[in-house]
Amino acid sequence: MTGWVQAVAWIPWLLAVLVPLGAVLLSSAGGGMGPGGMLDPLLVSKAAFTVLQAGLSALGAGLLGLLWGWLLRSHPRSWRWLRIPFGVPTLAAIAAWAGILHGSSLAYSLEAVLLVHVFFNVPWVALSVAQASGSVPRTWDDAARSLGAGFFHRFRMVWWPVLGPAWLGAVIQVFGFCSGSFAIVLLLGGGPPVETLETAIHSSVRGGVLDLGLAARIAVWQLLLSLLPWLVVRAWFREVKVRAPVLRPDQGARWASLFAAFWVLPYVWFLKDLGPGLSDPGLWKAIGPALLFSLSLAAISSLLSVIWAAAAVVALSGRSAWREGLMLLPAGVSTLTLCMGFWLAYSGWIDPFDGSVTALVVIQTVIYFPIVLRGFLPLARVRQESLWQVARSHGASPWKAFWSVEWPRWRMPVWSSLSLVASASLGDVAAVTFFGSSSLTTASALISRWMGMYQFDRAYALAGVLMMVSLGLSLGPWRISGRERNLPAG
Amino acid sequence: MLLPLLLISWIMPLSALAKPEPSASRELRVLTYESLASKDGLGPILFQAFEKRCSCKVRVQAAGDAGQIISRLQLEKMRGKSDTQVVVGIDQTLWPVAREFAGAPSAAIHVAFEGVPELAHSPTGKGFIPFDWGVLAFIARDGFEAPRSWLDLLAPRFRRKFILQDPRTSTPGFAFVWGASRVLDPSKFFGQLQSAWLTLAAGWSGSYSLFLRGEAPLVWSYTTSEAFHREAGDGDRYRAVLFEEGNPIQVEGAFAVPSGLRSEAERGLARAFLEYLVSPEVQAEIPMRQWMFPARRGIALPESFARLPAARKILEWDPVTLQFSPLIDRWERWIRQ
Repeated sequence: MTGWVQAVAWIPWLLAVLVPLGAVLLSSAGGGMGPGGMLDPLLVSKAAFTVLQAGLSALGAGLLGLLWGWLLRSHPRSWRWLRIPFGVPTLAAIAAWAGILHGSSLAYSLEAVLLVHVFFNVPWVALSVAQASGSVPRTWDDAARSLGAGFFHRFRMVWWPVLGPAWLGAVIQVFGFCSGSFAIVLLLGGGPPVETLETAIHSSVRGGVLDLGLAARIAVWQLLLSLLPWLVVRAWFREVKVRAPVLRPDQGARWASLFAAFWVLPYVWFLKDLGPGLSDPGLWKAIGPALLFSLSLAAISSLLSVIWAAAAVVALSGRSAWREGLMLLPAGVSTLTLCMGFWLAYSGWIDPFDGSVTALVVIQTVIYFPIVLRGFLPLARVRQESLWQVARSHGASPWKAFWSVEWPRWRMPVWSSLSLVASASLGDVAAVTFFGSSSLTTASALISRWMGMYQFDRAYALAGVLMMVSLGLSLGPWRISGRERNLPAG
Repeated sequence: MLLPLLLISWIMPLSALAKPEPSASRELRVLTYESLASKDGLGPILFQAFEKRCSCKVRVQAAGDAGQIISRLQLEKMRGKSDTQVVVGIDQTLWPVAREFAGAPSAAIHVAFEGVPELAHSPTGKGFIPFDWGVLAFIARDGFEAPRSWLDLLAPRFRRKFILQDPRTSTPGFAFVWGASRVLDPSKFFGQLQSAWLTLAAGWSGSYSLFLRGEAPLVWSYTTSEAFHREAGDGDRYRAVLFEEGNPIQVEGAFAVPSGLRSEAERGLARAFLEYLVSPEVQAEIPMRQWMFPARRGIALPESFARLPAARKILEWDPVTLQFSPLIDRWERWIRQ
C-alpha cells in the first residue's frame, strides 16, 4: 500500500515536473547559456521589465491588501467577497477592464497591467492578513492598550510580529503570480516593449519561426524569477507558526462586506453589458461543446490534483522538509514554462498545434496541485490520534473511523480545493494557448475566437456565463458549510 | 490504481470527441490558417468542391496563423514524421523559411503568376504557388484625417490613434515593419513609434476587432478591407489610406510538401489540388471569400474592388536584407531604445 502511495505521489512529479523542467534546462544549454545566450541584452531587458512590473504590482497590492486585511480582520463574514476575484476567469476580467479603460489614457499600457494586477491581488493579500490577524489573542492587544500603548505601538509590537510574515509571504506570492502573468500583459499591455518573459515565450513559440532554443532560454529566466520568490516564501513560512484563526463576534458586518466588495466592482460592471449576448437564441447551442469541454477539463484537473495531493500528503508523512519542498516545486513554475518543458520533453508524442487533451489535463493538474497540497499539509500534520484510537477501540473499521474522525476536518479543504482548482481551470488561458487548437476549443479559447470574429456580444455573454459558473464553484463550498473557519491559509 | 484508471476513462472519451478519425481511403492532408478554413473563408468552397472533383477526403489542419504553419512544419521535421501534404497560406516573407519543406512546382505556377504584380515575383520563385495578393494599408474611419506618409504617424495628432499587429506573430504586422524599413531609417522611426501606437495586437483579426469596437480610428490592414465594408453595407464609412512613399504588398501562396507525399497517387492528388486552387473557378471566389485580389489574371472583380484606391508605389520585399528573424531581432531592439 505504502509503495503504491509513494508511486502515485512521485511518478507524476517525475514525469510531469522534473522531466519537463530538465528538458527546458537542457534545451537552453544547447541554445547557448553564455553571454550571447542567457545574458543577451534583449533577454535581460525583458527579464528586467518582468521584475519591474511584478514588483510594482506586488507593492501596490501589498500596501492596499495590508490596509484592507487590517480593516476587515474582525469581519470574517466579509472575507467571502475577497475570495470572489479568484473565481473570475482571466478573459472575463480582461473584457471588463478593457471596457472600463476604453478611451482613457491608461488603456493598453503598463499602467493598465499594474491596475489589473493590483485589483486581482489585493484580495489575496487582504485575506492572508485578515486570517493571520485572527491568530493574535485579543488579550495581548487589550493588555497593551491597558498599559497605555497607542495604535502604532500596539500595531508594531502586538500585531506586526504575526501579520508581517503573513503579509510579506502574500506579497512575495503576488510577485510570483505577476511575474508569470500572461493574458493580462498580452491583451492589456499594448504589446512590446510592455512585454514579460511569459509573453516572450509565447511569441517565440507561436510566432513566425519556431525558436525553441530562445523559448527555452526565456523559460529558464522565468523559472529563476518565479522560483526565487517561492523559495523565499518557503523560508519564511517555516519560521511562522500561524494558529487556527480565533473568530470574534462579527460586528459591523454590513459595511465590512461593502468594503470588501469594492474589489469585485469591475466584474459587476461587466455583467451589466451581457444582455444582448445572453438573449441570442443560438448562444447556448454555440457555447455548449466548448463549455462542456471546459467543465470536463476542470473536473478532471481538480479531481486529479486532489487525488495527487492526498497521495503526496501520505507519502510525505514523517519525511524531511526537503522532500516537501521538492513536491511543492511546481508552485514556483509558471504555466508557460511548464508548457514549454512538456512540449520539449514529449514532442515525439504530443503535437501542440494539433491540440492535446492529455497535455492540458497534465499541465493544469500540475499547476494547481501545489495549491491543494498546501491546503492539505497543515491538516495532515495534526492527526486526531486519540479520537482515532477511541473510535477503533469501539469497534469502528478504519474506513468508519476515518469518516467519523478525520473526514469532518478534511471535508471543507477537499471541497474548497476542488472548487478552487475547477474555477481556476475554467479561466485558464496560458495552457489553452499552448496546447489548445481549432478542434480543441475551451470556453476561454472560444471567447478569444469570437472576439477575433467581431462577435463581441457572444464573447461577452460566454465570458459572463463562465464567470457565473466559476463564482458558483468558488463560493459553493462556503454555502454548503455556512462557516468561514476553514479558509485556506494561502 | 485509481489514477491510471481515471486518466484512461476521462481522457480517452475526450480525445475521441476532439479528433474525429478520417474515414476516406484517398485523403489529402492540407495545412492552412484558421480564417481560411473557417465557414466564412475560402476553405469550405475550396475543400468541399475539390472533394467532389477528386472523390477523396480533404483533411484540413488549421493553425492559428501563417507563422504557426511554419512552426508546425518545423515541429513535424523535428519529430521525423511529416503529416502535411499541402500548405495553403504562406506569404512571400515566410517563404524563405518554408522553402526547405516545399517540393517541385506543378504546371499551375505559370498560370498563377500572371495576375500578381511583377515586383512580387522575385522573392518567391520555384515551388511557391501564389493564389491571392493584397496591398497593406491603414483603414481609417470616415471623418478622421488620415496620415499621408509613414512619418506622419509620428505626429502628435496620431498619437495612440492607430492599431498595429505584433510582427512576430502576424504577417501584416511584419509587413508594416519591413515596409517602413524600405523607406525610412527604421531604427529612429521605431524608436519613436513605440510610444505612438495604441496597441500591437497578436493577430490581424484581433486588431480589427479593436478597431471596429472604436478603440482607435486607424488600423493596419489591407486596402481590400474597404471593399469588405462596402459589401457589408457600411458605404464609405471606412476607407483605405495609402502612403506617398508606397505600401507593402502581401502575396499568399501554397506549396506541396514532398516528405508528406509517399506515393505517386498522393503526389498526383496534391498536384491536382494546387491546380484547382489557381483555377478560374476557385480564383473567382477569392475576392468575396478571402477579401484579397486573385492571383490569376482575367478574373472579374466585384464593383467594390474596382473602386479601391491603387497604391502609388508598391514596396518590394527584399529576401536578403529583410529576412524575418534578423529583422524581428532588430525591431525588438529598436523599440527598446
